[in-house]
Amino acid sequence: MILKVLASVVLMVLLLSMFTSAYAMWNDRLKANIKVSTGDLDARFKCFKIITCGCKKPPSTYHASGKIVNNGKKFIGEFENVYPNWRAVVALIVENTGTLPETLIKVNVKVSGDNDLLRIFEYKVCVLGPFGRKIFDSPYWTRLNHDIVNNVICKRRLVLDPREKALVIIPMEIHGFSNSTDLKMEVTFDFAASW
Amino acid sequence: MRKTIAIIPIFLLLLASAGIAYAMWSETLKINVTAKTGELDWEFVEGTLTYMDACGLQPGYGNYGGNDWNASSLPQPGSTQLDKDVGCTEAELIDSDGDGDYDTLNITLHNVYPWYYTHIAFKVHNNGDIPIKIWRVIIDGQEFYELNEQVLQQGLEIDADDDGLNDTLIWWGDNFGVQLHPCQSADISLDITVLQTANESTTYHITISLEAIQWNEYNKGPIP
Repeated sequence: MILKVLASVVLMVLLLSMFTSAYAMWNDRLKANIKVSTGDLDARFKCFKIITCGCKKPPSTYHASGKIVNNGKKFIGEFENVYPNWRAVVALIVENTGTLPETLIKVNVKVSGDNDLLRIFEYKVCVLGPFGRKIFDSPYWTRLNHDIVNNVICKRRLVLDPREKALVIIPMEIHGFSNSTDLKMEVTFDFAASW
Repeated sequence: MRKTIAIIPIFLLLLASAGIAYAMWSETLKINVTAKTGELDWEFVEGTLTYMDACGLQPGYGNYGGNDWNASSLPQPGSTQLDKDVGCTEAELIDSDGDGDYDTLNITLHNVYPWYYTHIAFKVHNNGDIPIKIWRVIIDGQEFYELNEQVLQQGLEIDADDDGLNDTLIWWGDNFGVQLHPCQSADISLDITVLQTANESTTYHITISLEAIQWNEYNKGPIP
């Protein structure tokens, strides 16, 4: 038994010494550290404006309101007591809040209300831009009215560099009469890191 | 007592005879062996580091323009220049141990995105006293030798954040087994591409070690 243990120890020492001699080979090492920091792809609704149009003053029962929710990812608009030949425009500013250019590829509009009302409701979506930082202060935004909106040349998609903005315009109209008068609208958008 | 007295002269006589023997003429030749070992040392060469899309370049086309490069030739290396300056590449040589040699290359890709492509080239130099051979490269823990260098030439996909998805692709220039005598240098280059599965707003770290050994110990693969 003792002999076996002794033989094992000797064998181990021999193996270790072989390993040590191989490891003792001279070498020198250079190092390259690579750090890859990827950018951020993000866009948000920053502000909105609802313009009720038409020649006549809207009835006093009519009310339009909106809010930006989901951390700027969704706009919800509510229109109460809309009336025959009602026309309105929702204008939204989308900003590229990320660090990479992105393409605004689609604006999704979901309108809910009574089917009777939806049957005579029409809307379209167009995107304008890109605009620089001053869009909030520009007369273009503050004076934005129905006539301007109707005369713009709309794009379906556009590329936004970081901090650039797009103006999303959704003109809406009711052709005819309905017993139901309330509409709710949800607007979201899709973007991609392609340009 | 007489016996003791008799032993003393005998002992003295023996000592005297030994002294005579020791006084015999002699001369010693001496061989002094001094083994002064050489130094195995190599370094990145200052002033040879070049890279595409350097940070700080003004937007524009060409090698001196800051517009990004897109890995349009995937799965092969190669690229085409885009119309925007979004990301950039920074590379810096470091003397990490203060011995006067640049032993570390820090490469940083800023604000990049899938298919961002960059190319980094540099020279390595034998600044030691004995010939060396470029033995192996260890990328993100994977060892590459002359035996399996094809993997690097075809492009090595790396999962730097261990999420099960490869996020970076590296092509490595072929220089395994190259022998560098003292003062000789060799070119090495690498291409880096960010893959589609890379995450947004994430920082990936990849470490590459280049190992050179004494030329007479060179083996195409791991030490057997």
